[in-house]
Amino acid sequence: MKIEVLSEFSYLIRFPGDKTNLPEPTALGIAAQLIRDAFDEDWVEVVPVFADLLVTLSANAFTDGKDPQTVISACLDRLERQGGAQIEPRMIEVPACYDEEFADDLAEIAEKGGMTVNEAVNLHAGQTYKVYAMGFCAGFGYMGDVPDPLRQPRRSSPRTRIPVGSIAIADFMTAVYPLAMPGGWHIIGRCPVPFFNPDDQHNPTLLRAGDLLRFQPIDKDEFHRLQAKWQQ
Amino acid sequence: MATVTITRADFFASIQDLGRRRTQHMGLAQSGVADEYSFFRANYLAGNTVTTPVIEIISGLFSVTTDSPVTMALAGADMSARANNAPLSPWQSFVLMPGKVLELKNSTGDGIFSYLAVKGGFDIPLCFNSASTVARENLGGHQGRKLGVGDQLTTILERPLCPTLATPPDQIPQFGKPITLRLMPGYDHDRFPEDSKALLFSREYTVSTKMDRTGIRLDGPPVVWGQGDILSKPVALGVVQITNDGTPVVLLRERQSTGGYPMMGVVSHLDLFKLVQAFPGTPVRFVPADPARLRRELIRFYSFWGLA
Repeated sequence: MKIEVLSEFSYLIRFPGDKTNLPEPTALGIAAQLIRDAFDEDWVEVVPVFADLLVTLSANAFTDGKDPQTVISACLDRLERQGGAQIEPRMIEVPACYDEEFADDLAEIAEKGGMTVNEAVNLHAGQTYKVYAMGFCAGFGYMGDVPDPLRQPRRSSPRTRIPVGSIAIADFMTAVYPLAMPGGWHIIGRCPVPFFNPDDQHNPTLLRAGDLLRFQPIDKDEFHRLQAKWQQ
Repeated sequence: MATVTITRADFFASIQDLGRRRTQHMGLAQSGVADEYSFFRANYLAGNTVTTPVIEIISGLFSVTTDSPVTMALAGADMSARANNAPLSPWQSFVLMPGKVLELKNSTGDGIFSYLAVKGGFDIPLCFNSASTVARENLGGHQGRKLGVGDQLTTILERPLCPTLATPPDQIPQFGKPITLRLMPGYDHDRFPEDSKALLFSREYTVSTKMDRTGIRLDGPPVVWGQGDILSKPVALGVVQITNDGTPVVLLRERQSTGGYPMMGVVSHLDLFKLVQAFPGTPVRFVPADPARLRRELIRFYSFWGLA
């Protein structure tokens, strides 16, 4: 791991890895928690994203001759020592409806991968995904890895509004849109459960970086039943 | 308490404070005021704790009335304001009388963002420990959206009054001058081709018309990346990202928390306040800067306002 001084109050911690060999998101998650605990009141943001961890501290973390970089180094040393002692990631299972009404791009994705729509659904729902990062918008998790035959680059022209709950894929990643947003990913289904709940001010997001997630296929009737339940 | 009613809101005005903390790992935007100096000054003039939520007004064309006397303060951009039927320069506090109007007109060319504070602050519920509006998320501020005609904001204090103050001229920033942005090289900087790095630090850019609370695009010679796609990274405030067509974009408080474009580094926090007040066409130059020196300057700034 390399610590880079990024700005007045920020550091960037780079974990070894690239797109084809990403670091374990739980390792970044443990590092993030060690850093939060070490700085207590004085951390402002600790944000793990794929292979990088952004640490932003308050002005008070630097006053009276304090050197936060040594504190961060100590946290990373501790992470290395813990090495094999991985935390058990949370496993989250969400219902997913792949009905054509919600899956504008599924037929095309299947065709490009040389599959039937059913095979594409089974492939997508048969995989356990890791949440590599949260970002883009509130509650949005970048998850991987999408099985090879389903991988397609982003659409050349983004849609102006993707409905809440849409399941999307782009390249090696899949995601669920927690809010209606513009976006260029391919839409292959919809989840009836909320991924972002602003009423819960402490834990507003279903996902956290480091979680594991599986999609459980459901039909349209079940989708509407669950959606009605969650909208009450 | 007093009720302040919005009577004109042509462009974009919203409730803002210093924004959220500890939310970006959940994908929520930071948000908050674009120009912290003017924000602190407005609150200081209104006799407030300097972090009290205010109305941030972009590009003027905004007015309010009140049902009882309120001490208010205006700082930041000069929008040819009038209050109680008389001209009002920014950088001072004043009492708006019942039935009278505070009116911000068009820009005079001196700044883009104005800050309107009221004594004691408005009664705004906190959302993720901040009053800041994020319209994209439909959260925070007044009903999660920009302010509109007819919106009513109530003051927290029963009698929101205090003595009025003016700002010493030497503490009033001059907007509208060419800008030097001190850039701390970082992120993907070392992977850019040598001539791209040299270009960014040697040529003049200008503020373009494409700007909002998420970022400011600069016009000028394109900066070539040429290294293909990269993994998304967490995005600090003030990052200079280079889009596919080579345009540098300085990212502001309402940016997304992750970004997939290559990034050159981070602009000095204090220089962002000048950049956001700059009109399209304002010349911008980048100079490389050392984080340790800028940190000492920034700590002095926050300790001046009692925040460090």
